Amino acid sequence: MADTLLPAQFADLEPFAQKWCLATESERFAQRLASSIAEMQAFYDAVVPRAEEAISYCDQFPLQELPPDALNLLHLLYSMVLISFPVEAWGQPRIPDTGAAYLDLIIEPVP
Amino acid sequence: MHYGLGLGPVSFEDSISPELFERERAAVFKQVWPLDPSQIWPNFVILIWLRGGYLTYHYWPTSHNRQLFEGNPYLGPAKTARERVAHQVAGVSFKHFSWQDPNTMEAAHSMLGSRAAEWVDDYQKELEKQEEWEGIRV
Repeated sequence: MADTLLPAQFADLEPFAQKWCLATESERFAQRLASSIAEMQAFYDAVVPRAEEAISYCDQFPLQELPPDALNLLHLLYSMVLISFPVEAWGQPRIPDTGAAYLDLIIEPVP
Repeated sequence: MHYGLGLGPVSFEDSISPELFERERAAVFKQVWPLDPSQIWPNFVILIWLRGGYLTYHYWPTSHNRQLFEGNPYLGPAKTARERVAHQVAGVSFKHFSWQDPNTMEAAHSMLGSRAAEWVDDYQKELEKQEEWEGIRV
Protein backbone atom coordinates (compact mmCIF):
# COMPACT_ATOMS: atom_id res chain seq x y z
CA MET A 1 0.00 0.00 0.00
CA ALA A 2 1.31 3.45 -0.88
CA ASP A 3 2.65 5.57 1.97
CA THR A 4 0.58 8.49 0.79
CA LEU A 5 -2.99 8.61 -0.45
CA LEU A 6 -2.98 11.95 -2.27
CA PRO A 7 -1.05 13.40 -5.23
CA ALA A 8 2.29 14.92 -4.16
CA GLN A 9 1.19 18.52 -4.68
CA PHE A 10 -1.53 18.02 -2.06
CA ALA A 11 0.88 16.73 0.61
CA ASP A 12 -0.39 19.43 2.99
CA LEU A 13 -3.77 17.63 3.05
CA GLU A 14 -2.22 14.23 3.75
CA PRO A 15 -2.79 14.48 7.54
CA PHE A 16 -6.56 14.44 6.81
CA ALA A 17 -6.48 11.74 4.14
CA GLN A 18 -6.70 8.61 6.28
CA LYS A 19 -9.77 9.92 8.02
CA TRP A 20 -11.63 11.65 5.19
CA CYS A 21 -10.74 9.84 1.92
CA LEU A 22 -13.81 7.62 2.14
CA ALA A 23 -15.47 6.07 -0.89
CA THR A 24 -19.11 6.05 0.22
CA GLU A 25 -21.45 8.69 1.62
CA SER A 26 -22.45 6.42 4.51
CA GLU A 27 -18.80 6.13 5.59
CA ARG A 28 -18.35 9.89 5.33
CA PHE A 29 -21.55 10.58 7.26
CA ALA A 30 -20.52 8.14 10.02
CA GLN A 31 -17.14 9.88 10.20
CA ARG A 32 -18.85 13.24 10.52
CA LEU A 33 -21.03 12.02 13.40
CA ALA A 34 -17.92 10.58 15.10
CA SER A 35 -15.96 13.85 14.75
CA SER A 36 -15.97 17.00 16.86
CA ILE A 37 -16.60 20.42 15.36
CA ALA A 38 -12.97 21.36 16.20
CA GLU A 39 -11.70 18.41 14.14
CA MET A 40 -13.97 19.28 11.23
CA GLN A 41 -13.06 22.97 11.45
CA ALA A 42 -9.35 22.07 11.13
CA PHE A 43 -10.10 19.92 8.08
CA TYR A 44 -12.33 22.63 6.62
CA ASP A 45 -9.70 25.34 7.10
CA ALA A 46 -7.09 23.18 5.36
CA VAL A 47 -9.14 21.87 2.43
CA VAL A 48 -11.34 24.80 1.40
CA PRO A 49 -8.45 27.01 0.18
CA ARG A 50 -7.17 24.05 -1.88
CA ALA A 51 -10.54 22.97 -3.25
CA GLU A 52 -10.39 24.85 -6.55
CA GLU A 53 -6.92 23.48 -7.29
CA ALA A 54 -7.99 19.99 -6.27
CA ILE A 55 -11.01 20.08 -8.61
CA SER A 56 -8.81 21.30 -11.47
CA TYR A 57 -6.34 18.49 -10.74
CA CYS A 58 -9.09 15.86 -10.93
CA ASP A 59 -10.45 17.47 -14.09
CA GLN A 60 -7.26 16.51 -15.93
CA PHE A 61 -8.55 12.94 -16.10
CA PRO A 62 -11.73 11.39 -17.50
CA LEU A 63 -14.10 11.00 -14.54
CA GLN A 64 -14.32 7.22 -14.92
CA GLU A 65 -10.54 6.81 -15.26
CA LEU A 66 -9.20 8.70 -12.25
CA PRO A 67 -5.87 7.35 -10.93
CA PRO A 68 -6.14 6.11 -7.32
CA ASP A 69 -4.56 9.23 -5.78
CA ALA A 70 -6.87 11.55 -7.77
CA LEU A 71 -9.86 9.42 -6.75
CA ASN A 72 -8.80 9.80 -3.12
CA LEU A 73 -8.61 13.56 -3.68
CA LEU A 74 -12.14 13.56 -5.12
CA HIS A 75 -13.40 11.63 -2.08
CA LEU A 76 -11.69 14.20 0.12
CA LEU A 77 -13.66 16.92 -1.71
CA TYR A 78 -16.88 14.99 -1.08
CA SER A 79 -16.00 14.99 2.62
CA MET A 80 -15.41 18.73 2.44
CA VAL A 81 -18.92 19.16 1.04
CA LEU A 82 -20.40 17.01 3.80
CA ILE A 83 -18.69 18.76 6.71
CA SER A 84 -19.21 22.27 5.35
CA PHE A 85 -22.82 22.33 6.64
CA PRO A 86 -22.02 21.66 10.32
CA VAL A 87 -18.93 23.87 10.21
CA GLU A 88 -20.52 26.83 8.44
CA ALA A 89 -24.03 26.74 9.84
CA TRP A 90 -24.87 24.42 12.71
CA GLY A 91 -21.90 24.07 15.06
CA GLN A 92 -22.80 20.40 15.57
CA PRO A 93 -22.32 17.20 13.52
CA ARG A 94 -26.02 16.29 13.58
CA ILE A 95 -28.61 17.98 11.40
CA PRO A 96 -30.75 20.19 13.65
CA ASP A 97 -34.53 19.68 13.95
CA THR A 98 -34.46 16.09 12.75
CA GLY A 99 -35.70 14.53 16.00
CA ALA A 100 -36.26 10.79 15.77
CA ALA A 101 -36.48 10.75 11.95
CA TYR A 102 -33.73 8.88 10.15
CA LEU A 103 -32.66 9.09 6.53
CA ASP A 104 -30.04 6.95 4.83
CA LEU A 105 -28.51 7.11 1.35
CA ILE A 106 -29.12 3.86 -0.52
CA ILE A 107 -27.83 4.49 -4.03
CA GLU A 108 -25.14 6.95 -5.15
CA PRO A 109 -23.08 7.50 -8.31
CA VAL A 110 -19.56 6.07 -8.54
CA PRO A 111 -17.15 7.81 -8.35
CA MET B 1 -59.29 35.18 3.90
CA HIS B 2 -58.84 31.48 4.51
CA TYR B 3 -62.47 30.96 5.57
CA GLY B 4 -63.67 31.88 2.10
CA LEU B 5 -62.73 28.68 0.30
CA GLY B 6 -66.20 27.18 0.71
CA LEU B 7 -67.47 23.98 -0.86
CA GLY B 8 -68.57 25.32 -4.25
CA PRO B 9 -67.02 24.51 -7.62
CA VAL B 10 -63.42 25.73 -8.00
CA SER B 11 -62.19 27.21 -11.25
CA PHE B 12 -59.34 25.31 -12.82
CA GLU B 13 -58.86 27.92 -15.52
CA ASP B 14 -55.27 28.44 -14.39
CA SER B 15 -54.55 24.79 -15.24
CA ILE B 16 -55.90 24.90 -18.80
CA SER B 17 -55.33 28.49 -19.93
CA PRO B 18 -52.84 28.59 -22.84
CA GLU B 19 -51.78 32.06 -21.75
CA LEU B 20 -50.95 30.92 -18.21
CA PHE B 21 -49.24 27.79 -19.58
CA GLU B 22 -46.93 29.99 -21.69
CA ARG B 23 -46.22 32.27 -18.74
CA GLU B 24 -45.27 29.32 -16.54
CA ARG B 25 -43.18 27.70 -19.27
CA ALA B 26 -41.24 30.94 -19.69
CA ALA B 27 -40.79 31.20 -15.93
CA VAL B 28 -39.47 27.64 -15.66
CA PHE B 29 -37.23 27.53 -18.69
CA LYS B 30 -36.24 31.14 -19.36
CA GLN B 31 -35.88 32.57 -15.88
CA VAL B 32 -34.45 31.40 -12.59
CA TRP B 33 -37.25 29.42 -11.00
CA PRO B 34 -36.78 28.69 -7.31
CA LEU B 35 -39.18 25.81 -6.76
CA ASP B 36 -42.10 24.16 -8.54
CA PRO B 37 -43.69 21.28 -6.60
CA SER B 38 -46.33 18.99 -8.07
CA GLN B 39 -48.29 16.94 -5.54
CA ILE B 40 -49.66 13.81 -7.18
CA TRP B 41 -52.25 11.90 -5.19
CA PRO B 42 -51.81 9.89 -3.06
CA ASN B 43 -48.12 9.83 -2.16
CA PHE B 44 -45.94 11.21 -4.95
CA VAL B 45 -44.26 14.62 -5.25
CA ILE B 46 -42.18 16.00 -8.11
CA LEU B 47 -40.01 18.99 -7.22
CA ILE B 48 -38.42 21.02 -9.99
CA TRP B 49 -35.77 22.78 -7.99
CA LEU B 50 -32.30 21.86 -9.15
CA ARG B 51 -30.96 23.45 -12.30
CA GLY B 52 -30.72 20.61 -14.80
CA GLY B 53 -32.49 18.15 -12.53
CA TYR B 54 -35.49 17.39 -10.38
CA LEU B 55 -36.42 15.61 -7.16
CA THR B 56 -39.13 13.13 -6.30
CA TYR B 57 -40.64 12.17 -2.96
CA HIS B 58 -42.64 9.08 -2.11
CA TYR B 59 -44.46 8.69 1.19
CA TRP B 60 -45.14 5.08 2.16
CA PRO B 61 -47.28 4.73 5.31
CA THR B 62 -46.34 1.59 7.27
CA SER B 63 -48.81 2.02 10.15
CA HIS B 64 -51.16 4.65 11.60
CA ASN B 65 -48.20 6.65 12.93
CA ARG B 66 -45.14 5.54 10.96
CA GLN B 67 -44.04 5.99 7.40
CA LEU B 68 -41.16 5.37 5.07
CA PHE B 69 -40.00 8.47 3.23
CA GLU B 70 -38.17 7.97 -0.07
CA GLY B 71 -36.47 10.84 -1.87
CA ASN B 72 -34.62 10.76 -5.16
CA PRO B 73 -32.60 13.58 -6.75
CA TYR B 74 -32.27 13.12 -10.51
CA LEU B 75 -29.39 14.82 -12.32
CA GLY B 76 -27.79 14.20 -15.68
CA PRO B 77 -24.63 12.08 -15.40
CA ALA B 78 -21.58 14.17 -14.46
CA LYS B 79 -19.06 14.42 -17.28
CA THR B 80 -16.23 15.93 -15.25
CA ALA B 81 -14.99 15.89 -11.67
CA ARG B 82 -16.13 19.52 -11.33
CA GLU B 83 -19.68 18.59 -12.30
CA ARG B 84 -19.54 15.59 -9.97
CA VAL B 85 -18.54 17.78 -7.00
CA ALA B 86 -21.41 20.14 -7.88
CA HIS B 87 -23.78 17.15 -7.88
CA GLN B 88 -22.41 16.14 -4.50
CA VAL B 89 -23.31 19.59 -3.13
CA ALA B 90 -26.84 19.22 -4.54
CA GLY B 91 -27.23 15.67 -3.17
CA VAL B 92 -25.94 16.49 0.30
CA SER B 93 -28.12 19.63 0.47
CA PHE B 94 -31.12 17.51 -0.53
CA LYS B 95 -30.39 14.91 2.14
CA HIS B 96 -30.01 17.59 4.81
CA PHE B 97 -33.25 19.46 4.18
CA SER B 98 -35.29 16.36 3.38
CA TRP B 99 -34.14 14.83 6.68
CA GLN B 100 -35.69 17.81 8.43
CA ASP B 101 -38.97 17.66 6.47
CA PRO B 102 -40.17 14.22 7.69
CA ASN B 103 -39.41 15.24 11.25
CA THR B 104 -42.33 17.67 11.13
CA MET B 105 -44.59 14.60 10.81
CA GLU B 106 -42.49 12.64 13.32
CA ALA B 107 -42.92 15.48 15.81
CA ALA B 108 -46.67 15.79 15.17
CA HIS B 109 -47.24 12.06 15.70
CA SER B 110 -45.02 12.00 18.80
CA MET B 111 -47.15 14.80 20.23
CA LEU B 112 -50.44 13.07 19.35
CA GLY B 113 -49.11 9.74 20.68
CA SER B 114 -48.29 11.37 24.00
CA ARG B 115 -52.04 11.99 24.54
CA ALA B 116 -51.07 15.35 25.98
CA ALA B 117 -53.14 17.17 23.41
CA GLU B 118 -56.30 18.18 25.27
CA TRP B 119 -55.59 21.65 23.97
CA VAL B 120 -56.98 20.51 20.61
CA ASP B 121 -60.52 20.55 22.07
CA ASP B 122 -59.90 23.92 23.71
CA TYR B 123 -58.56 25.29 20.45
CA GLN B 124 -61.55 23.96 18.55
CA LYS B 125 -63.95 25.67 20.98
CA GLU B 126 -62.05 28.93 20.70
CA LEU B 127 -62.17 28.67 16.91
CA GLU B 128 -65.94 28.06 16.96
CA LYS B 129 -66.44 31.09 19.21
CA GLN B 130 -64.34 33.21 16.88
CA GLU B 131 -66.27 32.02 13.82
CA GLU B 132 -69.61 32.77 15.53
CA TRP B 133 -68.35 36.25 16.37
CA GLU B 134 -67.28 36.79 12.76
CA GLY B 135 -70.66 35.51 11.51
CA ILE B 136 -69.06 32.62 9.63
CA ARG B 137 -70.59 29.93 11.81
CA VAL B 138 -74.38 30.03 12.41
